[in-house]
Amino acid sequence: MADHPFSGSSHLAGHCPMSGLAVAPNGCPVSPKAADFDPFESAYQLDPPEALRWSRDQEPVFYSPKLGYWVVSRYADVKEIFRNNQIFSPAIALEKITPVSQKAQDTLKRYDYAMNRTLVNEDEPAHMERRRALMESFTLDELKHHEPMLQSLTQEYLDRIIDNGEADLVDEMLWEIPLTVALNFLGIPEEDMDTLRKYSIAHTVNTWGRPSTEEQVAVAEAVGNFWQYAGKVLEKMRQDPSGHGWMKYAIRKQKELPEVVTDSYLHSMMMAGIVAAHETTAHASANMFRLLLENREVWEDICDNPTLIPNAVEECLRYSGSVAAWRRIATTDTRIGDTEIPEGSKLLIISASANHDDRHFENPDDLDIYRDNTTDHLTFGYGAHQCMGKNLARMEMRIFLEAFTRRLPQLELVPNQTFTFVPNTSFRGPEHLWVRWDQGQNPERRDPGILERIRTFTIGAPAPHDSARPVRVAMWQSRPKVWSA
Amino acid sequence: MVRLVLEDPRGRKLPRWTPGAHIDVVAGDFARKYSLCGDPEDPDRLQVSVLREAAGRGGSTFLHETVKAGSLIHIRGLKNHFRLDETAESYLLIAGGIGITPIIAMADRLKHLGKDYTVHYCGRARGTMAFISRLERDHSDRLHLYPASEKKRLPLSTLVGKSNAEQIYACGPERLLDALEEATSDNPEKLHIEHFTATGAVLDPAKEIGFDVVLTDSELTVHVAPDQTVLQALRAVGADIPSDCEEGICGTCEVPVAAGDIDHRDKVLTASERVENCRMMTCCSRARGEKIFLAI
Ligand code: HEM
Repeated sequence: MADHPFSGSSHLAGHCPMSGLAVAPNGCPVSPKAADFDPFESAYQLDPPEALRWSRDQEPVFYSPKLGYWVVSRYADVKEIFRNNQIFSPAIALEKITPVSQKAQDTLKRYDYAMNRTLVNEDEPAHMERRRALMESFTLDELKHHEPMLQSLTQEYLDRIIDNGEADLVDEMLWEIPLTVALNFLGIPEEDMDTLRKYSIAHTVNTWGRPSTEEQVAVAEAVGNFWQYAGKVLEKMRQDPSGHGWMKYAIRKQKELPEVVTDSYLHSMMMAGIVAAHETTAHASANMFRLLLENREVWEDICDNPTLIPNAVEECLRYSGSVAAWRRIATTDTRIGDTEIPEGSKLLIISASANHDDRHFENPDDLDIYRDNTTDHLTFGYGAHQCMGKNLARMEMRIFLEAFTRRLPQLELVPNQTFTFVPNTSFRGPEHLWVRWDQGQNPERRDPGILERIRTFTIGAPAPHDSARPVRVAMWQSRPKVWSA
Repeated sequence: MVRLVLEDPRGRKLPRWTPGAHIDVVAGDFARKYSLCGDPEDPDRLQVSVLREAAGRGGSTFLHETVKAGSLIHIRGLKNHFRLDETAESYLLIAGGIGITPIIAMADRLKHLGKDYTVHYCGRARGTMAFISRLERDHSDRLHLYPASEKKRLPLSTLVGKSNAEQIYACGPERLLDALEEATSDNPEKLHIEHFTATGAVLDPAKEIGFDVVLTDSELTVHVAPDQTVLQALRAVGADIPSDCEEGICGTCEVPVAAGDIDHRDKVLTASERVENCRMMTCCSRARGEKIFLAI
């Protein structure tokens, strides 16, 4: 264990001489299962809720010596930690879980890289002042402006593949559109999008994985370039900050509240915004298509009845969300349930496990698109930091699902493909998702009118009537004499 | 009274359920809640029993008059807000009228687990009381019947006073549950109840006041207009509050209250929970004053 990359963590206690077991920072022995837990191994990578089932049942809060983190797996605890952001600070949410090599640090320095705390990892009271100052762009009325752009982007990308009969949905669509949407949402000028796109490379492995030194340096180069270019784009936007776009709104807001929306924040916001909006939504969409196509009956239900789409999207976010775990740090000595947590403890809170906790969800391992408390899921976090973009992400996912179920109901997974994941604790989605279909059966070849019959949905969480389940009355017995069944 | 057995129109499996679980049957614009009874191990069918209520909302009339075998209807759920805590050793189960449906599912389960339990069931007359023969068959040595027509009254306070059951589960008409609440006021945590009737109220803006709701976790202030529910106002600012019956009986839209004087209008919270003032149902309850604080 001594040569494990994380064993240098300051929380790691020595071995207990009596039992031979490691001791957690609160003085309690580490159970064998806790000692074995390794989120970079395949059990967690393939199925996080299943990998933590033992923990939900036996040891809902445990110390992982391999990680140097406390791991939390039950719904009520995860939600409480999200909720209490004073005791459980989000300051470490974006910290590199693998220390950054000197070489990568030097690279960043060359670009004057100065990324600051943004929203997701900022403490109070600064966080809430900023969040409220910048909320406007996420209201339902503002989000409506993005709908036509999303519709036409989706149509355009689908048009490109519709006659091919086979596609990797991730590479050919789901990775691309959320990035374009993110750039549009921020209000990046059209002519700068391609350059920023080039530098928006995967942050996942760098933040939550175990990148090699070469990977770290490559990411650092891209991040450095992004940083510099973002600075220029920001200057350009300052010339004319009118119109839609979160960055433009923030620039206007800065005039009113210069200490809340600082220059440094504005510069950091562009990259943070893209990270928040891109991979999360891309992975969530890929997980959704995979899950629904693996559950053919559910897919067919949605094709037959598109009003199910909002709740189906939500159930996919619960069942197989793109954010599997999040991080907090204890700012004081505290407890979670019966477990004492010393000040400074780092926590990995597994929302994917919470979302499968049968203490909160009935039959949690069933994919049930008629489930009516599915929006209780913690994939978007909870409380003061809850994802601000959740309704944009929902809108994107609904539009993707609506377009595919309408134009390619015969879609299926290419059989026997192996799904691969970038090994990391937090962001989860397949790197590729191969699907196929018989082009001859494309409904629009028979009925081009299908292209126009786009269904739209009210923005926001699904409404209760979206999840009504049809049933047939098999027996109707008035005043049954014998109440025996 | 009718018994409805429901199945998936395409022959699929329906969700598994546990005693105390209910579904909502959707009829037109509103949904009505019915406890599940029948066999929880049967993956293909769900069963509910529906009493015809003269004063009831359209739900029971709909199920009695419009629905027949073969009809397609919609349900929501299933959910369980009346979950049986299986860790206790002894139980008192109390049912009034159609409230027997969740109770019989609990009795079956407790028998299966080998726990100590008794069932107390009151109603107007044997002929109108559902499931008697089934109860006599499966729970005869545990069963106490109180048909009013036979001048038998459920001796609530003596029953509760004498019993050393660790947990009490009750379902039935309002007066029965109110009386039980009073009888257990010394240890309210023992009592678990499920309401079936709601004095469904439609907002009359002329009689309501507007007020502010401060969300302490999200640090937001939301105004609730006189013609709006708290739930509607919260949803308008993007808060995800799940909801269901939207008439104060299911408990889905509960939110934690940090402070403020709440005008509780639901049927979910017990008297002691109201006094504690730490939660409210957003679909119907309101503020008495100008401002309340919610911990969301
Ligand atoms: C399915 C897609 C998405 C998922 C699963 C997701 C998940 C999350 C999570 C877990 C957090 C932290 C929550 C907490 O600490 O309680 C968060 C924060 C945030 N997300 Fe998302 N997100 C998604 C899409 C988006 C999009 C599309 C945007 C923006 C356009 C966005 C913007 C943000 C912002 C600004 C925050 C920081 C909020 C704060 O700290 O106050 N997200 N997201």
